[in-house]
Amino acid sequence: MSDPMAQFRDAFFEEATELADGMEATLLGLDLQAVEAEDLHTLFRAAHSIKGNSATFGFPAVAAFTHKLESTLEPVRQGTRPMTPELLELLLQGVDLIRSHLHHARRGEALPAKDQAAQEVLIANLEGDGTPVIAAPAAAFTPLTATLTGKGFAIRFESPKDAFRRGINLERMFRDLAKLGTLQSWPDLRSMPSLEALDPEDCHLAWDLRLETARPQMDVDEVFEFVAEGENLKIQPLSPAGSIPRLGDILQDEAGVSPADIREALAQQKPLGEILVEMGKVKPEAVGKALEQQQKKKNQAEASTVRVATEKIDRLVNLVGELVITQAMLAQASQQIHTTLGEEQMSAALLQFDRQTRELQERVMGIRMVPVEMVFSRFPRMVHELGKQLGRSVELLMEGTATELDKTFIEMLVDPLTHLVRNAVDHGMEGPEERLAAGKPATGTILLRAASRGGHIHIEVKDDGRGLNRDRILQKGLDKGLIAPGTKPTEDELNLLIFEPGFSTVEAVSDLSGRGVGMDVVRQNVRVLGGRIEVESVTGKGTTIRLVLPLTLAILDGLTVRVGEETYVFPLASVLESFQCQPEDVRSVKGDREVISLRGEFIPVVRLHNLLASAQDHDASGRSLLVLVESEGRRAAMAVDELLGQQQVVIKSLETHYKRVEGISGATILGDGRVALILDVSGLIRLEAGAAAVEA
Amino acid sequence: MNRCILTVDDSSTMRQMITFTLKGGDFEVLEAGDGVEALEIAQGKKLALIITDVNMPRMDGITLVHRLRALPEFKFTPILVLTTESDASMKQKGKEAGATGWIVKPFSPEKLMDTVNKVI
Repeated sequence: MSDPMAQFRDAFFEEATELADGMEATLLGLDLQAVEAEDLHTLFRAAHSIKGNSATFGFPAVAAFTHKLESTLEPVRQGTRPMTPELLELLLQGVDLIRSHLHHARRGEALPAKDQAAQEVLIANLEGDGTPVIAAPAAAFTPLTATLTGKGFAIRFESPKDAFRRGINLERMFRDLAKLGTLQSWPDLRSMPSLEALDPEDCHLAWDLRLETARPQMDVDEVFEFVAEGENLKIQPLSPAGSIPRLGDILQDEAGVSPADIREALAQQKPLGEILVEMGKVKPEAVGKALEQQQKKKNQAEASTVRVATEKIDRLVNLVGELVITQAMLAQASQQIHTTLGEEQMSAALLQFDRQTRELQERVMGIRMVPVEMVFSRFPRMVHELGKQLGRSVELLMEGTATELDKTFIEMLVDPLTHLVRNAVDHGMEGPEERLAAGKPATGTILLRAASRGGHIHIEVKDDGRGLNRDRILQKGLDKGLIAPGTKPTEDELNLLIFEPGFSTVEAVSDLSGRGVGMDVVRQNVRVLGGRIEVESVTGKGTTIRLVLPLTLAILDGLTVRVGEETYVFPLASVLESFQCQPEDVRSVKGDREVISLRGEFIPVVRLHNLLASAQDHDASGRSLLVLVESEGRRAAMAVDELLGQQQVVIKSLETHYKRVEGISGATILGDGRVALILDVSGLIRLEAGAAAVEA
Repeated sequence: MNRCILTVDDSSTMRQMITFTLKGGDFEVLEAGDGVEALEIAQGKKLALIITDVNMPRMDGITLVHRLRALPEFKFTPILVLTTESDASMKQKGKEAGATGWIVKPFSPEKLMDTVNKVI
């Protein structure tokens, strides 16, 4: 690592983000009728820590802004300023701005002009007498981010007006700065008033400076110690060596154009999206969407680190230590393998080795596990805002936030859960009057619950709203051609219909739920994760949507079976039971389609031999071994030749090594070194249904 | 060049430490025990710098800064205040009164010299 500070900076950003999240959670949890003093202290401490740390790590803009929040909170905590709903909103906006600050500071960018403007308005509101201040049209100020290659800093410094009256020696300051490296300066006299209006004791000077130096930013901050008032000083690192300098930087360097002029020129330049909209080539919404998408990609690119509890690492270190001992035991035993003692030692060591390997595997997988709270924590805010917007009073409860999930899952769950929660507030919840009329409390409740159940993680979004309207779903399903006319879908099938692409029972899509991300995205993501969706809904009582996910992506509990000469693996999660049946139990329908009657229910029989076109020499006796599987509410009985056993398998992607195969979700390597394919149950059912349709 | 510094502190040990350090830096040093005494000593003198504590009997440091800035001969003279902690409000009060900067106590002789060199 070239910059030793970089790793601390990462930790700083993570901690600061957590603190901001904590502030938000505390703010949302405040009961304005009876504010807990401890909550106010917590808020204050969080703001104070963010301020202190960001100053230490060289992010003065973050520090300056958090300082404003801290100063706002001080009288509140002392009890001299009341916590009002208005103030609460302002503080929430403040948390958003802190996040934006951190987000951009992490990338070495300045705060965007939009947020800059929002920040000024917010500060004015926080410091004002309560009369709301409204945003002025966005100021045309695009801060220059970085200058030419090389190490050092681009500095914008606007002298405090009272610098002379405080006896500050600006010249001395510049001399100190020049001692740190090579200094270039461009004075900016634009804020200088006319001669008649000028008070010679006021200082109206500003400078753009470029300091090439290998010294840390702390040294630069030091020089400005007595004149930095937050916003009047911006210090940004120069772009690293090797990156291509920007045109403005070169012009500034070679042609003597001042940074202030470049800024002014840049301010006249419009964003691409805006120009395209003016040309009538694209709708503003499309630009907004594209920007959102771009942002998402950016976010994905960065969130590739995971924080691991030291305790977990310590345990791993210990385990490796134990393994080394076992290895020594094995080496020793192998030298006297011909004696009885050697044999005994060998088997003891192997036993130990087996246990350690298994534990090591578990622990290493455990590193990828993070608490589900990481996704859940964003929802209180969202529900709060949504409820306010829709005029609904909704309370969000969370359970099992400490439940751990694979990090990949956490990332993939953000969109589906966001959608489910939005949906619950937007469509599931009734308005207060309707609720009271139905004899329910005016405030609706949404419960987010995570729990670990028998090798699976259950994540539930449960509301006490109106429940699914199955008549309307049925009608819609028929209209959209999702249900074949004449069939009578079960309740479960109807419930799951809401996850079909192109399904929406709400005619006028609100801007909240209908963002082009349908419920089918939920199903899509959950399927990619190897999980399934369950829906329970009682009319008038509410709806529970449960995502059932495997513990991790990499390991699967499987049922190994033999079909012909090949071994296949069923995900145990989709296996309901297995049984042997006599030829007469299986009935043929529509030619060669087969079904079996099981406890009064007709279930299609899938002959894996035929579907996978694998085996020739299968059991000719006619007796069949059937494995009853279920996926997405559909069942099938799969005919196999032999059940080999139940075991955990490590999933290898078939796609990355070979190509995508319908009905197969991956491959694994068995203990004897052979490759077995893992069956994709819902894919197989679809495949079979497709084959049936073609033949019919 | 004027190298006369006035140091104001009610603690004599503190005054001694400051005087000792500054003399080592080739400065001439005057001492005062509180704000009132400081104003008397400063009267009619040319000073390069004034270093004052905040909490003192008779007249505190912040008031002293106010009074000094009101005098034409000290309008632009650098003044440093000694604050006991990194208390933002005290720095702010000092700034508003017209102080040039501050030194946070406890400080080392090196820190004192660095800060002095920063303002003169």
